[in-house]
Amino acid sequence: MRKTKLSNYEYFLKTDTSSYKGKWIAIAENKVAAVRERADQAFKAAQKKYPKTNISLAKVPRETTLVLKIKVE
Amino acid sequence: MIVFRYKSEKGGYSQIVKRPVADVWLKKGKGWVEFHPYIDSGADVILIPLSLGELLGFKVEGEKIDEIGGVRGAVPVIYKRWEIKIGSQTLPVLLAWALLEEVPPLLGRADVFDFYKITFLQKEGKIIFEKI
Repeated sequence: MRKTKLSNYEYFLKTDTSSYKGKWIAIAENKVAAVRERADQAFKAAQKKYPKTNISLAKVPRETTLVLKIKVE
Repeated sequence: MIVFRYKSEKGGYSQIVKRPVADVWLKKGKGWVEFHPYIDSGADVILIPLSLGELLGFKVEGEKIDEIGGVRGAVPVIYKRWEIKIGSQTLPVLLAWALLEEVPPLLGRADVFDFYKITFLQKEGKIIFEKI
């Protein structure tokens, strides 16, 4: 069966990115195309792999990055 | 009307946290770069980390460095007037370029929240942007 191609945004929402905490990810072609410490590095690495495709960027937060969270007692 | 969604992520204490995520395009030269910031009604401005600003071509030299306060303390930033795109709509916005990497990219209120009526429907997993 053919897989439906998601937009980069939809792919990001649906993908478990927890193994990339603290890193930048570049998304292209329904894949995490590159994972780097910096946005520019991730973008350029993905662009090298997918020169004709739209690439999007997201920073995966560390657990402590977004500090306003619920504390479970 | 544009509908954004929540992303389920593992937060502290191994619990799942749903966070509102937008799909935003930032001007880069003659083109655009797509990125996925968190929508934060508590943030005064759009905030982007150091390396994303550098990808857009921002330079520190000759710029005024300000500080913004966060829950984790002060963050040095340079304010920039920049163009972003949400859906097909291009908006001139004020954004804060953090001179640190360890900040989350945030879609804050300045300019954006004046342009849209924004409704958070967390239970339904939606954030609705309606042009005012």
